[in-house]
Amino acid sequence: MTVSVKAPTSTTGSIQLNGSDVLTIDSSGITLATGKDLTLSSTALDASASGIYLGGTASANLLDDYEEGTWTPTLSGTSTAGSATYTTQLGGYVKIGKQVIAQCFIHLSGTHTGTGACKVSLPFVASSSSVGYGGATVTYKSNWVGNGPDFMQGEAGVDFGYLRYDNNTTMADLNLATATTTNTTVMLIINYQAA
Amino acid sequence: MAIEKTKTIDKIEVVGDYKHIHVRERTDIVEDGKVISTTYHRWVIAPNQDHSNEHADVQAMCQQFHTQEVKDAYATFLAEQQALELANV
Repeated sequence: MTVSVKAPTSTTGSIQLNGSDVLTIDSSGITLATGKDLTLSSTALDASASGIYLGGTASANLLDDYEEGTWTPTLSGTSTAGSATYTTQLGGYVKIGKQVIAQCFIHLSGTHTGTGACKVSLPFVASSSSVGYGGATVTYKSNWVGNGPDFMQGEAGVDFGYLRYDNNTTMADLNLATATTTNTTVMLIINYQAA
Repeated sequence: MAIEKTKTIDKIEVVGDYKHIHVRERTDIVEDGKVISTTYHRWVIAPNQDHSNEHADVQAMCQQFHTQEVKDAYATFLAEQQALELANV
């Protein structure tokens, strides 16, 4: 096996293996030959300025964001936002491109003072297009009064979703004024597209 | 060996039709001047939301983008949503 540097010209140069180009540098950038992989053994690829194209070079192929983090989920009412004392407010998210996958754990120590339908906050504003309508699955609930939440319906263009329950053939909003009490708890797995 | 934790507001973005403000707080664990760990915490400020306790830079963004026109448009949007939601309560 012989690695060599091909004599560069004013416009191009390359690194060769056994006489064949492996890495070429020219005015368009750096190109790896077909069949050659780029391996980063102990460092990360920094594409923070523009992202990475996967599967094509259209804007729909550009992965330009990845982020992991936390947020503080809250409940509020649509008529009166209200407030509550929270024993637990845990929220974590992963954002891959526009897609947000989040989970949260909310535990109230007492009754929420909000009125109207029950909103839960999100870490990012949802897309204003119809594809922004994400949602959430309730993975745990306890100590709700009457109908507790069965799911969260996403809403386009805002930073919250609605906790709702399955009313047989349709769905219905929780009435926050009467829905909570001591130790009301909900856990959600949330999935939607960000603006 | 000195280890310290620093928190900074490292990203403030204006997002969507109603100029929601995305705020990202970065927490770095720094050992002898080298960042050894970073975590993010996020929140969103809607046009109708109090921002008086936010970082000065965030307040400035809210004041710039949450104009009365934007607040009114968002209030109208929420009222329309609320009417639909309350019909289901």
